[in-house]
Amino acid sequence: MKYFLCIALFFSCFQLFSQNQNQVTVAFSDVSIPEAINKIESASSLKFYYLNEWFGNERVSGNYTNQSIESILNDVFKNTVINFFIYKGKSVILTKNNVIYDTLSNAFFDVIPENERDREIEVQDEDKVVSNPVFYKAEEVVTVKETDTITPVKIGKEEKTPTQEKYNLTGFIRNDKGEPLSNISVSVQGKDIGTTTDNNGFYSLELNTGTYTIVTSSLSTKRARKRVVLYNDGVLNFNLEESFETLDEVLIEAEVDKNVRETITGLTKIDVEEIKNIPLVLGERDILKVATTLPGIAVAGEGSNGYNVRGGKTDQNLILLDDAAIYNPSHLFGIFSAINPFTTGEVNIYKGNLPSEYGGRLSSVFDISSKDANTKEFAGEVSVGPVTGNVTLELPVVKDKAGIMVGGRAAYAGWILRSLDEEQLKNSEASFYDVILKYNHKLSEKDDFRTSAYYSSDRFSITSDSIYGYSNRLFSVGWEHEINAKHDYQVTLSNSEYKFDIEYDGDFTNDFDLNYKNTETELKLKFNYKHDDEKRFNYGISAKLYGIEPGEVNPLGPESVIEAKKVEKEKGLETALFVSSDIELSEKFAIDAGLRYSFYSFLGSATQRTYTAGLPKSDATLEETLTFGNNEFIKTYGGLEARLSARYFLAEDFSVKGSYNNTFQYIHTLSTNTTVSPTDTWKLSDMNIKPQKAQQFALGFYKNFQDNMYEFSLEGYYKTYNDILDYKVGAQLLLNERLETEVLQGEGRAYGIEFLIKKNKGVFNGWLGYTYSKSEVKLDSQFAEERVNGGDYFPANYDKPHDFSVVANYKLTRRFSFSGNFAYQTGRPVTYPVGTYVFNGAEYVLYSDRNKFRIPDYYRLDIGFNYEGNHKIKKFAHSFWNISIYNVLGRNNPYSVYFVTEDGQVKAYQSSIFSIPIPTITYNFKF
Amino acid sequence: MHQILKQEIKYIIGILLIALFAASCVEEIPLQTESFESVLVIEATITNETKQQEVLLSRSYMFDSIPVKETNATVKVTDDAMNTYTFTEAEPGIYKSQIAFAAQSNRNYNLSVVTSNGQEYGSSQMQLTQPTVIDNLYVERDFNENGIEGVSVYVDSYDPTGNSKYYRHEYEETYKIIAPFYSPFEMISNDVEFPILVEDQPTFQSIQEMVDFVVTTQLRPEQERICYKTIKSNEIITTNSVEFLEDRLDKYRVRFIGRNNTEIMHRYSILVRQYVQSLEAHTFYETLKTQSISESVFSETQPGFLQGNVFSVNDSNQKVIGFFEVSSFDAKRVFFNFVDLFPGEELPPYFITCDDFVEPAPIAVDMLSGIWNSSPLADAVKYRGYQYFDDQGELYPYRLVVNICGDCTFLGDNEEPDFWVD
Repeated sequence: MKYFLCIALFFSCFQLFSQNQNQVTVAFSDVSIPEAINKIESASSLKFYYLNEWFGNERVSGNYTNQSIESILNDVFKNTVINFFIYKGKSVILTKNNVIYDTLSNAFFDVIPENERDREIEVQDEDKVVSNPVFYKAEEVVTVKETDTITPVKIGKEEKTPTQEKYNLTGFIRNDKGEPLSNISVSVQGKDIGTTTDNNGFYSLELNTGTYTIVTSSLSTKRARKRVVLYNDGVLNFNLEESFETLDEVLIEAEVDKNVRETITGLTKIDVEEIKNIPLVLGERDILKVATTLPGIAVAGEGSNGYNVRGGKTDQNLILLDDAAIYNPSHLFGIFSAINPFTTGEVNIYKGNLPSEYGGRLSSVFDISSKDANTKEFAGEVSVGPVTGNVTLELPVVKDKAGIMVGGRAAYAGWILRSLDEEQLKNSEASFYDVILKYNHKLSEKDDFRTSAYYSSDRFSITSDSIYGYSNRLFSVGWEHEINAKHDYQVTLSNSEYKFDIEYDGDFTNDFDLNYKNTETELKLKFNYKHDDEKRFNYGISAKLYGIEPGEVNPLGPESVIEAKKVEKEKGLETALFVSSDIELSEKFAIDAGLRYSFYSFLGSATQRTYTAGLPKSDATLEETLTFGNNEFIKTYGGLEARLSARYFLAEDFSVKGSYNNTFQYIHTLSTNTTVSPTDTWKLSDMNIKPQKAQQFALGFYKNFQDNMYEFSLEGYYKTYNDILDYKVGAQLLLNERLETEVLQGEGRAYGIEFLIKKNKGVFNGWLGYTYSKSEVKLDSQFAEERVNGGDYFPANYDKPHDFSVVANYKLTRRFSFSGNFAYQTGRPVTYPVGTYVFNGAEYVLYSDRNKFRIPDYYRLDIGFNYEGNHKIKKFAHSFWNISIYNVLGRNNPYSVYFVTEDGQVKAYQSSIFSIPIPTITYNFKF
Repeated sequence: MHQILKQEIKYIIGILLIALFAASCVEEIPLQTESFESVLVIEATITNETKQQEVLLSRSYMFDSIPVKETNATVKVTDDAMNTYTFTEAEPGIYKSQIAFAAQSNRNYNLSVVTSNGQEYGSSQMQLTQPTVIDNLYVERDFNENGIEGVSVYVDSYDPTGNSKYYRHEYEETYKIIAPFYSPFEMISNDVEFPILVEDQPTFQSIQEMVDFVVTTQLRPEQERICYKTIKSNEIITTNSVEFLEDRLDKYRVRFIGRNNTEIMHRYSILVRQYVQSLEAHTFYETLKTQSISESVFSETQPGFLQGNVFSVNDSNQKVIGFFEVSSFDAKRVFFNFVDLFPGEELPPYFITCDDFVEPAPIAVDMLSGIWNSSPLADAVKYRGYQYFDDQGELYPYRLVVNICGDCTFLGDNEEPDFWVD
């Protein structure tokens, strides 16, 4: 614990503090150093931070009268490798080997390991350090892979003139619990020197003074590399398991200037651990919901499916969970997301410049990866909320090499439905669950293997006579192999399936069973080549096979008069070649340039219709119906996609970035609804439906203030779309075999400016985001049926110009914290009935122009209170309580506005999902 | 089938939404009346039948108000043979051509409307569609798609040229109504003024005298037992023969009448009009169907303004609804009796249950003052919708029935239509 604190403080003492000339009188004889420290503590007002284990059997004596604390300590520690740092004149931080400097160069941040905790530190004379501080320049650090960590460590007490030719570097390699690890190879990178640890985990290497990279291998899932500067005999211990808390603290610091430094625009990273304090509806921690509090990512409404990224449609996001695409990442129509927050490791959302390895969707990539399983020891986390229960377990399979993580979440929402005072819902059931299984195995020093499987299911049974259900099934397997220190490759195979099913069993003559399904299988080979620190490349090839079963309806029961109908299957193959390079041209200027060539083919067997050119596609203009054989290339599309990004440092912590990219998409969602539509299906591009295309220009400014405490970004974008799908008035999409006669392909444009300020540290932290954006569609044609709103640009269904979010946390103490978030959005557009008219003796509704009106604005305030259990490191479990109130203001936010005819009268209704404050309490614990 | 499926899905989604929203809130919000748009509605179908052609003009209206006719407009149809047919307003909103004419093949027709406020509207050029006749119109006793027994009205039509493809049907049904409690006599109020003070009250020798004081019973001037009711369809009935090898409608159901529908109780006749449509007109009507006010709640279709082939000449942004159609036309009529299709079976029930007779007192007397306050009997026949049936009353020498049980003219017309064949 003290140790942890020490690290924490170490990182927070960036500011300059002069050491106080404390005068102390103290005496002790033949005591252990900790005892001596205790005496000094009681004789002065100082508080010491250190680990007892740093001290052995050394005995010290001394008698000091009104001496400066520095001289006393210098004397006490003279035979040890302990150094000290006096912090604000109140605390003394002891370090092993290292010296705490008053100032840190920027280069320091580049070399801070992401998750290194045992830093062996050299004792040095303060003066010497001041006169000749040794810092490790970023360039010296060899980062082979992102997951590797390089610790620059100084070993031994530097001597002005070396006294020996060779020095001994010794140390222990231990696991997280301090147990020795034997038979671990310890080698010096680039040199033919190496050894293995003995049964005590001890190793010894003879080396000249100099700089080395010490590598341990086959120990754990992660290779450990440490950069040492050897001055003298010294100790370099490895402790190969990370402690979660320290990981956290260091992680934040390590990526502290990523905002400014990253070459590409529009990358949003979500810190999974960070979100646990954010109050959420019904206590469900929800990664994707948190994403929507960040600029540029929006949902159509509370409880609606899909995300609109930078004015894009909901079908334009590639949501990857462990490399497999998930088509409907939501539960209960979008009230919860289907991504288990407890098993998620990292979420990267690319909304500006998409890496060239990804394609096939226009607007964004949500790259979600699960945590690797703990290969050391059994670990787990349990969360209990009012709607769901969640259990995550991590089990080592092969010690230090392989582990399994399994996470499951299930809802017990049935009671909510049953408790409602609604006759129709008496026998209703609603349930959902998702499970994820991940296995990771370090096959050798050069080979990593992992595989994941995921399944989510939602099922609603309404009045016990109809059942609606949908599910996602994902599977992926990946193998990563290092060819040499510069070159590695990854092979990934993924498969996913989304389907829904409606079973209606009410009125016996109309009973039916309706099914929909789509699948996707991708094989991808990607090479990473790191030429040097400044130049990195990756390239590869991928092939993705789409399959859609657009729908099948069957009569249920012998009395049903529903005719069986099946819409023909669709199949398409998307292949792509991609290459990208990340090059630092100078200290200030970096570019990330990628190219992707995608090639799509709509495959047989299929029936395709041709229509008279130049006329609207309709039954009247049907010319020919063609039939194609299995796997025949019916229609191909393709094109080059550029992914270009550049970053320039205007100042040390101030950068400007620009990007251009274009994308193609060969699969489209069919949905005329802006509200809940569980019957949305997908359609592949074919002879009559062209791929959607988009291009985006983005420019942004990024600045960090006060030692990266504040992060600021301002990003603008302009996007154009071509051939995005829309629908003719009156279009009917479900089970329609001739969709091309109902859809329109038009242009779109979206532009916006996104502002984000984040405070990452301190007792009060959080972020504030504001987006002003527009998203418009234009459907023009010489034919009335293909023209919408007179052929002018009109707001897209999800156009919400103002979007404002604040997320804030206030840490009262280390264990108590308050949090709150506030969101405001302009109401989204609707097509409104503007009157009635009589035609042919019957009444019809007169609609306004498409999306001419807007539903009322949306705003919501949530608050939460968090209590963390005891942080004692030895404690069996860490517990965490969260009490939150969702929608404190009880704002009746319209989810949708819809129109009903009752007794020949049109009535407008507004529905809202959570119109009252919803308090919840959740408990979770980790072990 | 599609339609049913769609409705079921809508239903399910509807219930799901209730499930979701019951937890929260669904509230009625006022419709934004400021968003109301007054839009001209043009219904114009010119056919190849020689007659005074009709154009109907109206305006859209607010949800809670009543339909508005567009009056005093100038309506013209012109063709490319330089003929101009002027229409004059026969009734408010109904414009009839001054001369009878029939649309000719291979000629282009245009509609022009100038409203009283000076707005000018035009249409696309339309040509007469392929003339195709109804080969056969017939009825069969069978079941509909919901398994309900009844009578179907079928159309057979065939276009050997293969050019028709798009059809719209209208029907006009006429059925015979026989008042079940008909009496050749009727009872009319004498409009005696009440109250009548004690000193002014006449003395009656019998109840009959009292009855005769307040009402007069006399023979009806004309029969009101058998009537005919004609109803025009107002649903849009469209179909096409695109999916068939030949341009043929084979046993196409235009109308289904349930077995228990009173309309077919006695004798029933249906006139079916067949219009062959152009694709544009067909598309318009098909789309219009989805905007019917009876389609409700969770419409799966894309809402929006429906653009026809009429437009504003002055202002392209001004909306106008409607279609100018030049359609070939044919009509056929068929008759049937219930007893022929359902021999020996129970007749469908009458519109209402009629065997509730009433016997209101001829005079109501105030017990304390002795003043005659009113005549419940006269009031019943004059204001409360009752009429004389017979003299078998328990208290009084009469029994009254509800109007529509005793007099068919409350439901239909007692004159036999010209086309009627018994």
